[in-house]
Amino acid sequence: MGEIDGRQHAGQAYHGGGPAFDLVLSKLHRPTVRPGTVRRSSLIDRLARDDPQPIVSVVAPAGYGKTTLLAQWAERNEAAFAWVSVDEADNDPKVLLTYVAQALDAIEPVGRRVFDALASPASSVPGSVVPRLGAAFSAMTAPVVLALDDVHLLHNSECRAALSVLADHAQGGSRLALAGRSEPPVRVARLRAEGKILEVGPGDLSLNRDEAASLLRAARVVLGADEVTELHRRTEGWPVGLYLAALSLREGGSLDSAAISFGGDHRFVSEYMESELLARISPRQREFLTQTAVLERMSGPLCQAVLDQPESAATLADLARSNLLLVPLDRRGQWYRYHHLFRDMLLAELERLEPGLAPVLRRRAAAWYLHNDLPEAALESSIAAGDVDEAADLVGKMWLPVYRQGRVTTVQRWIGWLDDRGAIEGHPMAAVSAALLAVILGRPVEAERWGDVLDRWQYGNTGRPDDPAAEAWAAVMRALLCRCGAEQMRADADEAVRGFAATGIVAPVAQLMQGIARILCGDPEGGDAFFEDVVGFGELAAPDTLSNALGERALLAMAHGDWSQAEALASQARSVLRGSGFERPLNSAVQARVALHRGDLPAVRQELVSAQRLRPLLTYAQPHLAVQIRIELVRVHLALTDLAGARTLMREIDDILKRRPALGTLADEAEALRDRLARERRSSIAGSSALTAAELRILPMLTTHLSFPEIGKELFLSAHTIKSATKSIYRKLGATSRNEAVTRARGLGLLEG
Amino acid sequence: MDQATRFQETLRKLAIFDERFVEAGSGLDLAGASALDPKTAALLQLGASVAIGSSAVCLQWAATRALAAGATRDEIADVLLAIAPVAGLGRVVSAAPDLATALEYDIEAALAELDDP
Repeated sequence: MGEIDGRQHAGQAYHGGGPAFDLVLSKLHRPTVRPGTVRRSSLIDRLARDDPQPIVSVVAPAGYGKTTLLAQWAERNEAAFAWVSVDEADNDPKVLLTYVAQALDAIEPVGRRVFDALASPASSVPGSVVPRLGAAFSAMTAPVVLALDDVHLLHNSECRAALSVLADHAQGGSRLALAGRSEPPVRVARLRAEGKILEVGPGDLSLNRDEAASLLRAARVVLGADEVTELHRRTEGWPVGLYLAALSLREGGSLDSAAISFGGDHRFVSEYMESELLARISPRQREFLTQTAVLERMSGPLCQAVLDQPESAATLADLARSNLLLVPLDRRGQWYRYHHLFRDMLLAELERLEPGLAPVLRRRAAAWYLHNDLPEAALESSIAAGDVDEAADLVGKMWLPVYRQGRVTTVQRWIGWLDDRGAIEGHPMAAVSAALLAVILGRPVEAERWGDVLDRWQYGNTGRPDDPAAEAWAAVMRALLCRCGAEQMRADADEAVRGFAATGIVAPVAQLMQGIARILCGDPEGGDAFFEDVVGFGELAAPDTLSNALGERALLAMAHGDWSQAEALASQARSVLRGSGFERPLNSAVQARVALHRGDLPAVRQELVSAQRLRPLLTYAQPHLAVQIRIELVRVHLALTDLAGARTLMREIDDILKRRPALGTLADEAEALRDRLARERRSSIAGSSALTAAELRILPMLTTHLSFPEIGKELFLSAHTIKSATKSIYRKLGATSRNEAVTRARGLGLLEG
Repeated sequence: MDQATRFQETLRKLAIFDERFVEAGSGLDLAGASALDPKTAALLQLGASVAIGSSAVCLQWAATRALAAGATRDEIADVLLAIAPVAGLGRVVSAAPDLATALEYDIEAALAELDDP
């Protein structure tokens, strides 16, 4: 069923060079302008004139023809048009920017690096994705208009910050056009002062009398000149108001009706809808309209399933021919959506007529999506229906593939929704996904919380149903969090491997944990055997798991002094990662040590910088890797006599060990290094290598237009802390302004762009 | 750089305590040869900064130097206790929050929270 709406079964692995997940292709189709649509010629002249402003902002309430204006402009425009219709699901920066990248890619290839950054779950949006995408946008060889419709739906602050920075990359005749109901997420006041923004508002979009007359003609409504004037006066030129009035008149309503009086005011429109429009159509049609309004996108078969009526597909086809408020989403006439305003009104009407029916309909939609192998759409429908159990089951199945596509914020939204309903306690796979996500995103407090939930599920709940897969994953989580020390980690990892074997699940990450636990327990040979097992899984193992196993083997080889073996393993690990486009901090540490042994200092510095970029994600939520990687990095910094850098890392090691003291051999190694550093009387300048993990976490945010308090809000820190940390960052980078700090950090490779 | 922006640059560099700039302007060699080892020197600078009521950014600078020279955070905090009898408790108390921030310990949040983070 891969053809449906261009969205295929989610879950394939990222292979590079394109979007990591299946796109809803209709979001990238510029809506076709229907014959008879009123032409906004003078507005389009303004948009298309020479010497254009790089930013176009179209802001007006629903029904003013924002989309139509952009679509007409695109039809006339000689420059290439990249179109994205934003929806609620785009409140994940990786999702939104994947659509933007794909829209631009269709005009001129944006390059593999853009998609690599988008597909990586751990890549920084302001630090990697936006600079790469922005560079690709500025580098377009011919001017492009990048148009985003319905941007008011974006409430995610990372998405909004990203668009604000992208706006700076609209250069060389390329333009960024943003249409929505509220002010776009760019620095409007500043752009206005610089004369870089063209603003179109409701006043510009209102139809004049002649345009109103041609709209009515196109809707096949015959009125006298006075009547047209009167209708135009009452609707204040609001296009959708005029159109709704026309529909009502066509169905036999009269212009005398007082209800036709609204100038962009939705309250009156819904009253009018109720008393005029819906009252005049057949009950069957009314039922179809109000009930299908629960669907964001609809096709004949889907409507049939939701309404449970075989003739629904035909009704949809009829409606598509006669109603302008049904927007076609593809060129084959299979998928449609209602005009947003119309849909809102229909939903309100449904709630009034048949309260409680909406969830039933959404449930049917979820079943249809599942049946048609569209689990993600099913999940969204279950969420909309408020079906916690169904949603939790689907999250348990979907989170890993979706996470692997880089769509971390999407998974977090699902988990947050379940959490708000107290539904994670009873659904262990949801807790596993929440915990693992928190570990990978470097949020130890959250990771511990979900770890507790898993423990309660396993040990506090004797009546729990058998769920061997969840048991095995819970054991992986316990090993990963390593809250009870090395010995327990080994037992947990062993239990996980037995559990997966019994259920037939392939999860090499469990063998990786077994190996790491062996090393902590002082059994490197035993550890190496498990790492070999992981490597033996080959393509079945995720690239990050595989590269970590190869990296661990390389470190063991170094410990034996077998440098040729270490180099071979390190380069194998590198090629695994290169294929996936991901970066892993263990790999950077291993490469740095290998390069140091070769005496290749530029390569050492480069690896140290990439380790710095990734280090904020290494917290006590995965204490073994967090400490092990830092130990290797301390060794490299010591060899370079960068004592300030080594001491910064050592402090972070101490902080982790304070929380997780029982890390076996790693704790011993850390102690030896600590003693060595304590004996060192020299000092070195606290430069960029002395940036702390907390400072490194703030650094990418400096590339956005966010203020210090806004950055604080993003990172759950006080504005005071951000201000102080920023001064420290500036000092360590030798910069005196935010711009200079970003430039320096880019020069060093700490930031991209 | 023209005169109009030079004063701004000067003030910005001072405001973040740009080490090279301060050295060049004052003729001091802050990291130079000394009979004191770097850590002792840095801890003394820190203690003196607290004693004369220096601003937060000076404390941050001194703390960063001390850490780079191998001082532990315990040692840095103990500087406050060590100088309290001569500098006065008032100075030491008022420096504590800024020094905490410099050591990346958000003392305001810690005092506001129910559980110590």
